Amino acid sequence: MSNGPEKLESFVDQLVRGQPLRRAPATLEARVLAQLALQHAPIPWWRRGFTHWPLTARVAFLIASYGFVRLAIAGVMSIITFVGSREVAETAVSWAHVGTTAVSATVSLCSLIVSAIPPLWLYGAAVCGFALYALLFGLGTVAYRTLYVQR
Amino acid sequence: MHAYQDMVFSTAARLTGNDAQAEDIAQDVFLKAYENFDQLRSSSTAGGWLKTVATRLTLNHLSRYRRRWRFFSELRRDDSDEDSELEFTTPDLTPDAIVADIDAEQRQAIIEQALRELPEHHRVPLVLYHFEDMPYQDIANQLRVSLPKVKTDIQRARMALAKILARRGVVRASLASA
Repeated sequence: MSNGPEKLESFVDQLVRGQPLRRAPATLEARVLAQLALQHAPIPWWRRGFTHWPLTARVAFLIASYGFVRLAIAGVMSIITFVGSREVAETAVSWAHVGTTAVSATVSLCSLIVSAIPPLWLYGAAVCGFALYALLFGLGTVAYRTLYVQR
Repeated sequence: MHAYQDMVFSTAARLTGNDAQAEDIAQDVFLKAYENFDQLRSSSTAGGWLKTVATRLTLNHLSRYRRRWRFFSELRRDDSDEDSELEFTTPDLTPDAIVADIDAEQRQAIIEQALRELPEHHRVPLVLYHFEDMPYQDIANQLRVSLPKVKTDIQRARMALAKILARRGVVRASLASA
């Protein structure tokens, strides 16, 4: 039997002709109404632009900002004065020396450990890590296709 | 909204093949309708407007979704995607091929399920042509593919749908040696 294109088209037409509409979920209307209510809910003044704020809030904000800037400038000036003293500078230098010594010791220790491990182990660990990554990716793909796409 | 919600949902559900996504799209359609409520209230073409918006939003959604999830969604899908199991089933396309002793409601459910099983690049043009009555050229324009490709995809989709339905016993199948 030959299933020509026209025959197939009229066959599918015949199949879908009587197909009724799918029933919309009962939750659809409630969702739309809830979204509309959310869109039309009055937005509080603090979530709107500065020009829409009440006058008192705007004045209070400007005063608070001025105070904050004054405080920040005073703080920076006092830090500069403090750092400028000789004792503080010496303390900072000694702390920096301790820090660099600790870092170099850690780097030496790590390189010692790495050189002690056979290269084969390192390659094995890299391959194992890659395989686990690929496995996780594959599991994620299967889970997505099974649980979400088929929903 | 009551009058059109099934129509809007059906359009989105058949195109996406996913009820959860269809519900999200239907919600967006009705929110857009609310924005144009003054025009639509007195319009006699409100249904057509809603259907057009539902189709457009669904196609936009699918193209965004496809770009985002191309790897995951189309991992197994290419042009030779017909199940090997189906290769052995050739549907009978004679006028009386539709099996009469299946309950109409059950048959409709099986057809919807069969649509969901089609790959997206088959389902979308098929639904646009057979359910949304869109001409081939308009489908090609909407999907930004060539006219011959649309015709080929729809033809393959029809055959795949018929084979799935033959396998489910909705239409008669003649077993052919492949």
